[in-house]
Amino acid sequence: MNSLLEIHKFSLEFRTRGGTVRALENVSLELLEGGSLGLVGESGSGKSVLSFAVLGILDAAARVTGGDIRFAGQDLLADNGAAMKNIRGRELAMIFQNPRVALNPIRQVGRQIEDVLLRHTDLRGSKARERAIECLSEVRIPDPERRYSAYPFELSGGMCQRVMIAIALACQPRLLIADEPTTGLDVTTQAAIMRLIRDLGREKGMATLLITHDLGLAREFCDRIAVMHAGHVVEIGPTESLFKSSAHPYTAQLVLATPVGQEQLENLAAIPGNLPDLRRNDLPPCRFSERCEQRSEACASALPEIAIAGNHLVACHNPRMGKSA
Amino acid sequence: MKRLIEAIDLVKHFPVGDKKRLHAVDGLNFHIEAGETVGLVGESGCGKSTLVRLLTRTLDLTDGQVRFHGHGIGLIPARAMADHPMRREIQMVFQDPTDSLDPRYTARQTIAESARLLTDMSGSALDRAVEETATHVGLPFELLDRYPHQLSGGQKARVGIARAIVVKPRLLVLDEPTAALDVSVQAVILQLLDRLKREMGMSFLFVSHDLNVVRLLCDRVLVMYLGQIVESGPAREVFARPLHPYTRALIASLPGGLAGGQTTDADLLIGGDPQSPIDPDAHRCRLFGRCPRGVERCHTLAPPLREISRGRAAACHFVGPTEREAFVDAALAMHNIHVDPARRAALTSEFNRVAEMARLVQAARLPGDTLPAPQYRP
Repeated sequence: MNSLLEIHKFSLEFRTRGGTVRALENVSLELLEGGSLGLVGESGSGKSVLSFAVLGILDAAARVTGGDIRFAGQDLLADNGAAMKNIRGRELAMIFQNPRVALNPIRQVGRQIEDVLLRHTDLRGSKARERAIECLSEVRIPDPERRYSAYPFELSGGMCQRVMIAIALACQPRLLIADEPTTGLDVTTQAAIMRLIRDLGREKGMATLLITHDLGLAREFCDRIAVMHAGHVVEIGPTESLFKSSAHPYTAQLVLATPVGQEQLENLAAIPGNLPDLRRNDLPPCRFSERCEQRSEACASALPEIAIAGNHLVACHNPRMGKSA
Repeated sequence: MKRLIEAIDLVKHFPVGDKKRLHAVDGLNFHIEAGETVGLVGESGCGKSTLVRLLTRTLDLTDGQVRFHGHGIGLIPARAMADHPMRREIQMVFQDPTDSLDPRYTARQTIAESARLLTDMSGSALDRAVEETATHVGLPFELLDRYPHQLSGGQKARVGIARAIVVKPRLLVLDEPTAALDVSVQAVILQLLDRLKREMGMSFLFVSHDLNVVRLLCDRVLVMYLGQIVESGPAREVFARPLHPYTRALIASLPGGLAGGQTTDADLLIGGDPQSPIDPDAHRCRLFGRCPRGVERCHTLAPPLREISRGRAAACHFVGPTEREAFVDAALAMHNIHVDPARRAALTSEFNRVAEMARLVQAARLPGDTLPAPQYRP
């Protein structure tokens, strides 16, 4: 399969009054057409910033300091913004974290779907309205004609999330970025939303980048997972391989800290320490080394990229080989 | 064991205009024993928070009773509760550690305030109590003079817990105490709670919609749906074999399942949204319409919460004890043996294990076997 999204040695920093925050460093990852990649890590690890970079909606304080992002062969960073406006919303779409905040509170939800259609397609008037209603029914919103004229406050959290998905999918994008699409939703709704994203992805051959801190969710819905820590991708590989033979000490600890599948509370192990302050000038090459139990002298030198198996890569001098978490 | 807090036919209705009423809590009966950890799970909007506010007596009841150590406390007006001696017996840890701390109070002031208001401690005794509690929750003394914005999420969670336990309550109500924390920190806080539970002998009411957390921390679990309890029982048993269709759906909805790595069982999932809680039909099962099994009877006769087997209850027409559970119960009754629910669960699961082995042996095929393997019936 062809690769759809390619991020190569991408680095990004924020210049703030408190110093330069090195938010992302040498981030590389690849997403195949129709594939699904999970991006997991603690809050502050750079997951959302990376997705904003892909969409070209970064904060004004952000500076790209290296690397490139390619979408279907096109260099997204070289673009001055005009071409991006045609891609964003049509080929690349995003589901934002909090639907109540992301939706316009004083605009009917159907109208908000139409806005996307008017910008990117030739549909006008009643045709656009019909398509918007169709979008609502595609995300299994009951009674879509009536819900078309509902305002976000009239809908439940799960319904708002579906509207967000409908907006994202209105133009049948080739890549959907879902940033914590189910936080704050109940488990029953979460399951329904995730199955919806997966089924629509399969039907339309859409690739999905799922940003989450829930390892269980990523495990169930993604065929590959990238683990991020403090702006680095520390490990990336096929889901089962990553869980069964976690090579990076951080991944292994993340798995142990997750209550899913644990029998006893005592087995849960917290990860000691915090993310390092990314404003520091003396950040070690491996940003996990200060929290790591397997630290050695080699950790002071540049990070390696070791292949555990075919496409399972780890950025660690002392990877855990052949051990299961 | 002794009942610490007990709710009897607890009801809370909110008027919503047009003489309509929202049934937030609709006839609940349950109790928490001394030293017990009870998990309360359910979707948002099912009445968990209202129930918590009724029990902590920060909201007046519409009907029913709340008894604490046998004394009725349901009639104490919520306004008067702040000065009532009962206040220190029931304490609460709130959901968001950032929002629930006063940004202009240091950790020390936050913890001391509740002790100062609710006990007669002052001066050096108060300082000692604050530092003792800080040690208890693993908060280093040098952090006590920091403000909330100078503390990490995990440290703020510890301050929130310290504030609640400094007055040594007998019941601690925790409302999603780990929802705002990263998994890396969540594990420490859960273990802290588990340690406090054992060391201090308090009872916990643990409200959460993270079923995995409830499963690991709680002795017993209550499942709520639209203002009613639909299932209750020992946590291990309920998660291993949920009885009510709603509980089954909840568990089936967990990504990765309970054991991890399993795929979701699509048949058990329920779709749609809950019925409106405004004046629901009292003769209809609350899950009707979403339930995969809804039949005529569910529409005309709401199933009451009834005991299914020892220690387990569910509100559904279709559940009864399994043959194996009934067998274990009958065997115990025949020999007049009384066991606690945990032991009974262990016996049943041992029985299940043996039955499973027997099934495997019977289904095993050897080379040269021509007849189909016999079907084993437990």
